[in-house]
Amino acid sequence: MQILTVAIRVVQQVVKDKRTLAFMLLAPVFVLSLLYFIMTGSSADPHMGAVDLDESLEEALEEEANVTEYASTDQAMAAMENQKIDAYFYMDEDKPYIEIEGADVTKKSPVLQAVQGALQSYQKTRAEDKKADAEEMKEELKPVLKKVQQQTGESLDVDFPDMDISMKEPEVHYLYNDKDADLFDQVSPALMGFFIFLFVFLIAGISFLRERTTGTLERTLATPLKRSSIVFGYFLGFFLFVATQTVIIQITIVDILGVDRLGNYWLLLFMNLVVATVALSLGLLLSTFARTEFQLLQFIPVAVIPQFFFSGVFDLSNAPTWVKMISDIMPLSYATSALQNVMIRGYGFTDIANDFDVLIGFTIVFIILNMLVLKRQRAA
Amino acid sequence: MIEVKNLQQTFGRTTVLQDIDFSIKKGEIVGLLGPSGSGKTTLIKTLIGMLKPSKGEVYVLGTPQPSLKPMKDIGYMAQTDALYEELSAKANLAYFGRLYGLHGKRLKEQIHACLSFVDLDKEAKKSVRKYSGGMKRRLSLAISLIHQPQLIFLDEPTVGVDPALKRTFWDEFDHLRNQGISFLISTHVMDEADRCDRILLINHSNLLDAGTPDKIKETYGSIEEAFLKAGVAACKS
Repeated sequence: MQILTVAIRVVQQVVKDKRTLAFMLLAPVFVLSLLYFIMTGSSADPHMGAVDLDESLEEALEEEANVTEYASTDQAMAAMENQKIDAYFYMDEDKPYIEIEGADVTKKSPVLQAVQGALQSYQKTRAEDKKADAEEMKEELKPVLKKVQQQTGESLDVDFPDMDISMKEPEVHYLYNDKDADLFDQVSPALMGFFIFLFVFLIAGISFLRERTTGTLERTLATPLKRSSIVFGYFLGFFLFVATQTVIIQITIVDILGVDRLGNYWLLLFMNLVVATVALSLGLLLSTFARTEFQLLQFIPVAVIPQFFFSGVFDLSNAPTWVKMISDIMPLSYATSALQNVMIRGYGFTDIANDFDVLIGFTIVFIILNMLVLKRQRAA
Repeated sequence: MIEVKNLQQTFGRTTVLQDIDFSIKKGEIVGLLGPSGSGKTTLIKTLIGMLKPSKGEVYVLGTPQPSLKPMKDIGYMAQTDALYEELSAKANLAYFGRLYGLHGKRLKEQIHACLSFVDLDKEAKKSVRKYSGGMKRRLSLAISLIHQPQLIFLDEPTVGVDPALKRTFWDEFDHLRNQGISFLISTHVMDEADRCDRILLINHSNLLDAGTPDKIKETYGSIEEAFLKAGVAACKS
C-alpha cells in the first residue's frame, strides 16, 4: 500500500513534468535514428591512386573506386600525404601492393574491398583473354596439323593445358550477418543496451536526487513509511516510464530502422527491461552520493561511459587480463552479451540465463545498498 | 510525551548538542529559542527519529528513539518547504495522508479540514510551483496536521506568513493544545515566544535555560535579552 502510494506520486510528478516526459520518450529515438543514418550512410567509393597498372586492371579498379593515375609511387605517396587519395595500388613483378593512408580506419575496408573486387574481375577477364588466345592458336594450328596428318598419316593433337590462370576466388562466408550487414546492425544490440541504461540512469538518478535536495525525501521519511517501501515505490513508479521508454527504443531499432533480428522479439524486450531495471537501481543508488545534479552528471564518465567500452562495441579478446576483470564487474557487459546473443545469434532464454542471473544479482545488490544508505537519512 | 536525558549529538568532530535534558508534557506548547546554528533543527530531527543520538536517551510517546513506532502520532514541519512542486496542494496532502495510513472518506475529510485551516481551499488544485512563499509555508503546516498527530514539531513555522494569518495559526495551536496535543516550536520571533507555555533557550549546542516566558523575562529582563544573550554566548564559544 505504501509502495503504491509512493509509486502513484512518482507517476503523477513525471506526467506533470512535460519536458522530462518528452525527454524520456523522444530523446532515445532521436539519438538512435541519428546514429543509424550516420553509421549506415552508404560509404562513398574510396579515392585511390593507380601507378603504372595494366590497362584492364585499371579499368577493373575504376569500377570499384575513384581512380587517379600517377606516374610513380613517389607521386602517389605525395598525393596520399596530402590526403588527395585514401590509398594507392601498384604491381611489382605480378605481386599487387596496396598502400593505405590508414589514419581514417573507416576507409580501410572500402579500399580493400575495392582492390579485391578489381583483382577478381581482372583475373577473370585475363583468364577469358587467355582462353580466347588459346582457341585462336588452336584454330591457327589446325591447317598445320592437318598438313602434318596428311603427310605422315598420323593423327596429331595438340593439347593445350588449362589456361585458367586465375587464383581460386576467395570464398567468404558469414556466420551470422549477411554480406550487407553494416556497422549499425552489428553494434545495435550494444547501443540499445547502452542508451536504455544511460537514459534510465539519468532520469531515475536525477528524480531521486531532487527529492533529496528539496527535502521531500526527508519529509517522506518523517512518516511511518518503511525505507524499503520508498525504494520499491520509486522502482515501481519509474518502471512504468522505463518500460515505455524501452519499448519505444526497441520499436525504433527493430521495427522502424529495420535492424536484422534473429531472436524472439519478446525475449529481446524482456532483456531490455532487465537492463533498464539494473540502470534504475544503480541510478537511485548513485544519486545518494551526489549532492547536486551537477555531481550526479559527474558519475556519467565514471560509471556509465566506461561500461560502453565493455559493451561489445570494441573487441576485447586481446585485452589484458585486468581489463577483462573490469569488464566482469560491469553490468552492461552482461547486458550486451545477452542482447547480442538474442538479437544477432537468435539464442533462446536458456542460452542467456547466466547473463540474466548476473543482471538480477546486480539489481538486488544495488537495491539492498540503497536501503542501507538511506539510513543516513533516517536512523530508524 | 517527550523525555530527553543527557542527549549528545556529534557529527565527526563537531558537537552539535550536548548535555540536553528536558521533558515536554501532554498539552503544552514549548518554544525552542536560539540563534541560528545553535542546534535547534538537529534537536528536532533527533526527537522525531531521523537522527540517532550519539549519547543519552530520547523517549518520545514512551518509545526510545529512533523508532518508526511513534511516527504515526508525530507531525513535522521542516524548516524548508518540502513540497512536490509539480503536484497540486491537494495531491501533496493526499500523498502524505496516505503515507500516514489515511484513506477513503477520512482522508478526504482531513484534506478538506487542513486546507480550510490554512486558508488554501481556493488554490487547492493549483500546482505548488505557482504558490507564493507564504502559501507554501501554510501548505507545509497543513501537511504536518493531516493525520491528527499527538505531538507536533514545527521548525520555524511562521516565516513568510502574514501577521493576521500568524495569529490564526497561534489561536489554532492554542485550540489543539487544549485538546491535549503537545507542540515543540522553534522560532526567532519574540511575540511567538511569548505565547508559549514554556521556553527552551538553546545556545551553541547547550541548553542555556528553560522556563515559562515570565520566568525567562525575570531572569534576563526580556525575551529579546535572553535571545541576545544566547547569541553572545554562541559567539564566545
